[in-house]
Amino acid sequence: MLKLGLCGRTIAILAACGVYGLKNRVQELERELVRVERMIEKERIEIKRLNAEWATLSHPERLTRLASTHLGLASATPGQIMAIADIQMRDAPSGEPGPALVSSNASSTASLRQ
Amino acid sequence: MSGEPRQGKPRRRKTTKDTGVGLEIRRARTRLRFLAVAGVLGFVALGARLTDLAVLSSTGPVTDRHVASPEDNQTRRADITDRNGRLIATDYPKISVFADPKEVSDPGETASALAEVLPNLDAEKLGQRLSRQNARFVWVKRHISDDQQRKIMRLGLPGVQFRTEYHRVYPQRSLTSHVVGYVGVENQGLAGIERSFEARLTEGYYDGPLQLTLDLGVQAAVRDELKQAVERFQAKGGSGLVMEAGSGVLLAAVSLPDFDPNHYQRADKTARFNRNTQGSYELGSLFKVLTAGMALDSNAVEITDQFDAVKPFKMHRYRIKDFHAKKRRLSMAEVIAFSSNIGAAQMAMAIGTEAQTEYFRRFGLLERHPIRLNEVSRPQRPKVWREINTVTASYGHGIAVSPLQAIDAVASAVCGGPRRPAYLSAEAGMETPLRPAAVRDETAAMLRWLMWLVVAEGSGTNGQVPGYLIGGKTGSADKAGPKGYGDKRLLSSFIGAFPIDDPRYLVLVTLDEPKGDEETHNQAHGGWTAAPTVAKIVSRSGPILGLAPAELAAERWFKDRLLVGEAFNGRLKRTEPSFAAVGDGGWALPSMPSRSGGEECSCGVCLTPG
Repeated sequence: MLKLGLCGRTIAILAACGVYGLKNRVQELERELVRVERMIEKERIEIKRLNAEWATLSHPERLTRLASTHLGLASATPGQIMAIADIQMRDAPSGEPGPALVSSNASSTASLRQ
Repeated sequence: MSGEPRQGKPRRRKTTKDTGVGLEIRRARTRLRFLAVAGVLGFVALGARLTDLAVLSSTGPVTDRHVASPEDNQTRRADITDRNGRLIATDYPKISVFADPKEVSDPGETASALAEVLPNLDAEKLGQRLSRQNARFVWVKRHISDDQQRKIMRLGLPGVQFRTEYHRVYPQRSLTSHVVGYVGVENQGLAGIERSFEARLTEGYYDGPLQLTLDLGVQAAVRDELKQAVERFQAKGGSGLVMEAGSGVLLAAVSLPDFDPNHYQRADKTARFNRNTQGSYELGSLFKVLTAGMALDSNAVEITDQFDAVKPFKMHRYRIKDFHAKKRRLSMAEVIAFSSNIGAAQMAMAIGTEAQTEYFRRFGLLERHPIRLNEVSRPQRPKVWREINTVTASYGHGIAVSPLQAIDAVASAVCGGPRRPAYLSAEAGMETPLRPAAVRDETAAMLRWLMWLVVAEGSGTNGQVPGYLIGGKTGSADKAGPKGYGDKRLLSSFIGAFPIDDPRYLVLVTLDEPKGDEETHNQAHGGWTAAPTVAKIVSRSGPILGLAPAELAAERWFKDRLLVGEAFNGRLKRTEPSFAAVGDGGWALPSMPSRSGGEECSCGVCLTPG
């Protein structure tokens, strides 16, 4: 009887310790979860900031101004647009990797070279 | 068995009573009992606490609410993007500073310390507000910078605290101001898409960004060209629309003057006014396209008919004249090409009032446009539609509609077939029912030919775009003033459809009170001011939209249907060409090769070496 009682008490104490440890672990995990969620939220805000910054930096008016000032580019004209199917292809000379492009439209060729 | 304890007890009692050692043992036992009780009580307390922590005080599942974020305090709004996913509006957390007057030790000193860090803060007023002892919350300033927050924290003022709130940011600034609108300080939508899509943007936050039909590249091209035109012609303002003809998708909607939605409070009422949807204008000769459509579709007039435009058209006490009178008989093609009011009036008489109002209803000109925006006006029309109203409406006077309604009506006329009214968001646009076809396909084809003639030979030659086949119609409406129509103030406009053989896009530009310059021979009419603006917009937008240059076959088809004769005008002592349509040439377009110009430019700014 004495042994059984002692054994029971030991098991109860061990179980209590186990539950206590488990509870602690769960609390730690919950804290970790909150920390991770905060981090995600922080990253989300950072992504939003970067997206907004990207949108500001790629504002069409700004790009047009910069491209015109630093690269000497201008808006495309209708003559520079053509369908791929309309471009005449010629056989590549031997030794070259693939067919080269030939266009009857000079401006289109210029555009393609860019 | 029972005698042994009785024998033992007196012996132990005797021993403890009689000896000093027994006394010590008794005391030790008492101490032990005390310690045991204390130990048991301690363990009971620990057990109770363990039970409490493990079972009763469960924190439950961790949710978003446990994360201390700005979301706790405020409604979040979904992002708004253009059709290519480019950001138009987004939320960004900003810090606001507030105070608890009960915790503020010295209101005056606190207020002046804060005023040193925060410019434009009235220290005296803040001091008074902080002195109110019954208040527990006073806003000091909303949306301060990180640097200002650091400075305030360094001041160490008791009772002054911070709150992080989401703040709406519009990185495109004034580019899309009238369409996207703006939000109030509590992040609630006050105008534009922000207001009309309030539920979608707030409750539907987790559904992702709201995608508009706008193309920022086209929008930028329209705004840039329109701005240049407004400045050049010293106009009070202007509007520009680009729409996919068949689907009703709006690619660009610009109204000038505009404003920066990030600082909408600084803009006056004029700048906040959306001319495209809120404005109701008599659009003048633009309506002649619709009149021609009605006349041809109802068989009231044949395309080969001629009209007497020698003298002004008289009705009751009114005399209807032409801007540039030809003073001869005009073919129907010439009535549209030269924008003859006299010819249009005669067409209206042939159509009749009943048929005209029925066609206006089919074009959607007699009711509010169904676009999902709050800032949409109702068209203004005569309460009693008399014969004279029928005549004036034929050349766009006496009925005032918004530019959005006008572009939709012309699209219905030149495209034929059922189509959806213009919309700004696919989510809402699909909810709008299709409008049944307003005119027959053959009528639409004849209208396309008439619009081509306007740009090729008529009043809209300044709307020509090298490389594209464009059709259009000019409009120059006298603005009604306090003394009627006589003070030479114009609303000049031009509507263009391109490519006119199979219209994919429509562009409408209006300029409010433009003034001609030397280059336009001081003319401010639509053909001189709005038409070249549309041409520039088409020239810039076409490549962005990946539109290939015009087919020669298409141009030949248009020219083949044109008879050019010679008319002698005795008064002017010169010979001028007379245009007429080939009546029996057939109006069905031959099948053209696909004009797809490859992938559309998604960057929005197509740039090539200049």
